[in-house]
Amino acid sequence: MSKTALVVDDSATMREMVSYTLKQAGFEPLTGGNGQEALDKLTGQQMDLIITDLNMPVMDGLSFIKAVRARDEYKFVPILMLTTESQADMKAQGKAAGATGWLVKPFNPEMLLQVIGKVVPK
Amino acid sequence: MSDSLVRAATGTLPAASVARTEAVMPESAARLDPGARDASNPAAVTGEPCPIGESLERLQLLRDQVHDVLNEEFGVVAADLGQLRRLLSDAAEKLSGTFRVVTASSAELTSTIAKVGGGADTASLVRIREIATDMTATTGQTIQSLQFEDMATQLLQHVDRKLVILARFTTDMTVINPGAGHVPPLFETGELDALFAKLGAYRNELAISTRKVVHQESLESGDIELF
Repeated sequence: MSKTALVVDDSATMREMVSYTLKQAGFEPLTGGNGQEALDKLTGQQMDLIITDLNMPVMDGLSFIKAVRARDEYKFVPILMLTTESQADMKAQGKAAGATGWLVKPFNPEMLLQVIGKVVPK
Repeated sequence: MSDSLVRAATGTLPAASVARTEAVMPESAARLDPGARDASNPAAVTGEPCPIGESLERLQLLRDQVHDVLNEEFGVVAADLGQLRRLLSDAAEKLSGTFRVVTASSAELTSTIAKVGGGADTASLVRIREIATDMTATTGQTIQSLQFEDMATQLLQHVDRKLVILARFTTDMTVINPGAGHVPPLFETGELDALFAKLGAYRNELAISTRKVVHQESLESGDIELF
């Protein structure tokens, strides 16, 4: 049975590139254009991995992660932040919100898959 | 032409303005009296310092015109940025479409080779297999490169936000006290304090609200950190 991943980014190109990479690793990706849209898709959905951008309209990545972590069923789902931001204070905020890891854009597909291999249980 | 532009251009001043100037700077007020001035503006001809009242008035005119120029140019730059954003978006959409076609073709090619390959590894088949492998190998680099659109768009948004604030800043700081009943504008201490406070507020807004989020100078892959 394939694993499910949620890809959250306001850029359609980014959603497509991440989704393509995940499909190569056997994931079935769902997508959302911002945090709120992604939260709506999460409801009742089994999720093995979440990859989210930080700066998005409507609901940003930090608020999204906090909202996800507030739900018992998603407390331990690996959440990777994929963003252009690389400042230490932003990373600290991401960690405090409940992110599992921080990747600075642009991502390299092979490296992304290596990271996913480390955070998603087999 | 507005009243203030006409006044500044012709050198005529309302009586209230002269009166107020007289209270603050009696000598300057006397020189502001249109009746006491030579219409040919001798100060300009002789190179003498411009009377303070006239200087203030012309500075106000200058400020108004600077505001008009900046306002117009902000509009032009904002329109150019919008055009650039649309071009980027269109390019990214077309490139993504091409990416989909190429990756699908590459996958199909690989599976077709597997089907026809069997035990007969002819030189042609080996070569086709090499081509398919090369195509797959470039996919990663293509994925990395296509992310330029996201970063470029964020940079454009950053510039856009700055422009919006700078346009407001220009209006607020150049059209100062437009309804004042005195020309040239003479400020009370409180008014000047408020202007400096406004300048400080804009500095903060520009520094905080328009924080730059893209610092990349190339499309090399970024750092990874697991918590």
